[in-house]
Amino acid sequence: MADLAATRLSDKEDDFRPAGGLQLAARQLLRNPAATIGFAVLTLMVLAAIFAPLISPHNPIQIKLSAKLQPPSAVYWLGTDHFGRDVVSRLIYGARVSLSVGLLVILFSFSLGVPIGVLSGYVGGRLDATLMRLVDAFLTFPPLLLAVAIVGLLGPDIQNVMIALGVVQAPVLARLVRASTLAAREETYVTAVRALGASPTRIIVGHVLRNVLSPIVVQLTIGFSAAVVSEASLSFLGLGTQPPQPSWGRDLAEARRFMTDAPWLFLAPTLTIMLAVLSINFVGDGLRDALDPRSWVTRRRATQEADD
Amino acid sequence: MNRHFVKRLAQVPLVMILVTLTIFIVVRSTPGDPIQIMLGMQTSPDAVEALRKEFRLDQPVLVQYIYWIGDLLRGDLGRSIRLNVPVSQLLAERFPISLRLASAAMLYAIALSIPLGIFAALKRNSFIDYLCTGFTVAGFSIPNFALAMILIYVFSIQLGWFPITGIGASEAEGAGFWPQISPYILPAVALGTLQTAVLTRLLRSSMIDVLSQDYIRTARAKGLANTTTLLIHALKNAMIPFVTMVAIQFGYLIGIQVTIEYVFAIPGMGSAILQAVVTRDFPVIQGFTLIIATFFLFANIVADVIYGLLDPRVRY
Amino acid sequence: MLFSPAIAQAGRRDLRVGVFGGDFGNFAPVVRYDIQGGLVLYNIFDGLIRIDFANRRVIPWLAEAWSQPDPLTWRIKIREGVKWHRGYGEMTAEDVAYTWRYHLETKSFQVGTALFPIDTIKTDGKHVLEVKTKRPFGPFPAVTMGYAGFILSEKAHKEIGAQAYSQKTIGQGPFMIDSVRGNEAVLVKNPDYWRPGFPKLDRIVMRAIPDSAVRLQSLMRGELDFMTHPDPKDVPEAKKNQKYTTLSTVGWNWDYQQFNLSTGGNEPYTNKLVRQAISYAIDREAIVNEIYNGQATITDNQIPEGFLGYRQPLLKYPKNGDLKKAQELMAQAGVKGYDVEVITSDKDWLRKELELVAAMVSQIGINYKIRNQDMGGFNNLWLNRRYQQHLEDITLVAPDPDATSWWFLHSNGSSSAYRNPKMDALLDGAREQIDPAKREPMYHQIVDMTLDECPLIYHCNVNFVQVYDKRLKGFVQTNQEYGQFHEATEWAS
Repeated sequence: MADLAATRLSDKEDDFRPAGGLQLAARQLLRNPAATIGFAVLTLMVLAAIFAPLISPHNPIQIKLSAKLQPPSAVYWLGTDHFGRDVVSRLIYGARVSLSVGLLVILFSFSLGVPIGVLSGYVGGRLDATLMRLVDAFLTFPPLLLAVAIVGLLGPDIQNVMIALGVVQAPVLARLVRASTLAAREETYVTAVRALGASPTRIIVGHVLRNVLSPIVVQLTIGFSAAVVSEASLSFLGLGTQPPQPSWGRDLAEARRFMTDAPWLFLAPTLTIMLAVLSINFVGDGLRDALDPRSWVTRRRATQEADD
Repeated sequence: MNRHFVKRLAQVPLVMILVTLTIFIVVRSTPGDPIQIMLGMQTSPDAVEALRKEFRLDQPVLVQYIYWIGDLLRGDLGRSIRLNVPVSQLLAERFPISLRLASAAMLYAIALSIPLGIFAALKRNSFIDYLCTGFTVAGFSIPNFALAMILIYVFSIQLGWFPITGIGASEAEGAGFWPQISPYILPAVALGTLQTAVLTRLLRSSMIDVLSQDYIRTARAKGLANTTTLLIHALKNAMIPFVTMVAIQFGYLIGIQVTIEYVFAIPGMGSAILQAVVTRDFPVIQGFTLIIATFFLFANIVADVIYGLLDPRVRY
Repeated sequence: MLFSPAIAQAGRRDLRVGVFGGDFGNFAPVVRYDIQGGLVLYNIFDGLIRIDFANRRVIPWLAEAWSQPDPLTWRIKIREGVKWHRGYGEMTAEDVAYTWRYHLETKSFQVGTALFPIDTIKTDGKHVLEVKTKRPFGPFPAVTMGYAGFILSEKAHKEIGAQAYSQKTIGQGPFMIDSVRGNEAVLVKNPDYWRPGFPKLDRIVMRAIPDSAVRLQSLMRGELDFMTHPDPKDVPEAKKNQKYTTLSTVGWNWDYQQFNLSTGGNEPYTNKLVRQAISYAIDREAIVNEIYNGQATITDNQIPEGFLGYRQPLLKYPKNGDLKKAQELMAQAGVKGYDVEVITSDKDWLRKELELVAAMVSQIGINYKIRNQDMGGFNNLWLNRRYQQHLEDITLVAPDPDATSWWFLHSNGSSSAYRNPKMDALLDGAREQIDPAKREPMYHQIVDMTLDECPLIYHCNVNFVQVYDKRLKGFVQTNQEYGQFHEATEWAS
């Protein structure tokens, strides 16, 4: 669960500066080969998920016992599972579940965490103190155990998994956004706009929020990958996606029984999960560099250094 | 420094109250009756009621919460409904195992991330840098139970180097150094690889940061100081966030062992919580989660303190 | 430098057993313990009776003999010279009376499963117990084999206290509890065991290992000598291995589906034709082959082999199902197809079985929406009848057809979601009949009615499988999931 770990990383460097225009950011992003590759892979996965019925070679849930546990072949590119279902098709359809888990979890944590963080950071005072202690309290729980408890509470269901993971991630985001809001609040131009009598809403939406965009985006990419891995862990413990719906995590959890006699069954979802998480991280890193002008300086310096 | 530390400590009671309240609300709103689960289906309602009374489950939730807090203040964590033993006894059995595993994982993470991080920073875009990046991204992206299965397959089944199970087994007691530590190796690697990735990435970036500081660049450009001195200086600075992160991650490691414990049959805290969640053993879930949360909270305070002590720039 | 457990254990006769689950739970006599806990209890207690599995008979054990002076009275003679563990003296009829009274007072679930017909208990001398029942009760001797057959030492139970007794249990069986800690339970030989020469093993170290693949791998690596519950798919491979014995025993259990017919709702499955259609749509052979890899017996009714009233595995529904018949029944019922939520508890094999069954019933247009629950969640929904349909497995507490039918089909049965006065009358009648020859046809009637009404649909009886080191000889597996190590004749490390 990379979320917390990585948050702490960015927590210490909360002096993000205003982004220098979207175009510049996009150009910066594309100049980063890892981010470009990551972006391409992600795009492919999303397209595969959307067009799953068109591109998937077989029915992912149709049980065909006569074809069970077949090794990769021309018909079944990555072999079949214990019920004779095509692994490729399951991965393609699984992308729907796994990616939407990632997406909805970050949406959920975004809509919960960002308002809390902005409010806390901008208003300050007692509200800030109370909200942050609540966030501290939530942060002390091991995310997976909290998710286990929440899924236990709501019943094992993919929606509940998403809610649980979203709740788990929201405090991380809230804390991060608060720190960035605090920093942005003290920026000269925000002080200036405030002095000019702009309304708080306008200041928050127009200036503060725009300036905390970079850490939020980075944290969301981290949250996305954490959600994909957590869904796998919950499925491993039997609390994740419900059959017969394919998800990468569930297929991986099932495949562990066949590790010796059908290794492709285990490797296919493992590598897919890794590839997805990796791509998201690359994109996240690229976005951070692209959105954070400070890192351009660092990069230029580093390039110079490499040259001399 | 002192004032900040005092302020931080002063916040602890409020956070702890919120922690206990959150635990209580989450745990108690879970459907399922621990008594019914334990006594079985043919038990008479009277017997269930009697035991509910014994565990005060018949009281309103708020009253139960106050009882729990009262017990906690007297150092009493309650009694497991399912196992019928004090939660403190379970804790005494399981906390040391989780702590040992967390320590082993942390040792592995530190031992691997320091050389990886330093070399990757010094020789940027070299083979070792790519290796480091590769390891980091793999460590970030692989689910730890999948890694655990792979480790078992390679190192236990194929190579036969390490045992799969055996943590907490009485047969290892007094059986010598190797039998005692060998069962920890694979779980520690499976558990600590994420932390290794985090620490390597952090050390690498903070080393690069320090190395690109103007004064060091100038010094290097002028060839004034020798490289070793510079390196030591850079490392000293880069170690500040590193050590802080070690403290934070250590607090974190105690609470994330559940899947690893499942795979390697480790009688640690995570499996106890999982078992307790499944059987709705409220006192165990509450007590164990509270201990893990407290451990994490204090690890973070320690991290803050270390950061304050080491970094001369931090003036609270 | 590499650690070999075999070397570390040289010279000791420990048997290292890997069992299913996370820990050993609670051994208090009033709780419904886990499989792992049962494994411990069956080795530290001797039952009042035993079952001769081969000949399907109840045989005297600690209850040496019993007689019935009148239909309501049972006189039970307790074996002399049976000693409690750790010097707690000789087991007497007084201990049996104490135990059963304790159950009756605490209203434990043993009362529900076995002791409920008891009216009064008294002793006649040191070794004779006289029990009066409220009504004639046919299954009486057999049901005491289950949980109620584990007798407490009155002295130990009072001295140690009910609470501590749940971990420091005193029995009179071949092994004693040495320690229970974390996921490990250590049993040691009982030097005062009443059967001379037994047991042969000195120490048994049991460890709960949740993952079946890890359990088997640990065995193959020599970290264990014995394991229970291998993944069925690994059984053929294990059987081929010359170093190990693979024992597969028919289980007194079933995998079944149950419909909640107690809500008065009008879901399509409240029509018995739909339930019959579902039963016809099930390919039971495929379940046995795909989920259990052949380590199970097909059945369509509630009476397993070895029980009074058993006839044959399949009485009505063909082993591969009959899809055409199923579709006809659906048409006859006028039901086109519908969605239904089906729950199951979190066991690997049940998850897969439900997935397979869902695929089978989808052929007649029924869409099973699967919801796996953890054990707590499942029991909560099941016992409070807050489900539509479920798929579960269950091990039967007593080798009597009453235990396999009454609780699941009688209006007052705790696990029943079925209301039918005719069925209630049949079940009560069979329970009050003492003569087995008269009871048998009554159960045939009950089974036939169940097959027609389908409040439950039975799939198979699942075998219990153990894999263990060949050097262990004489191990006996009961049909109730609990292995008995006291019959082991030989073990050497």
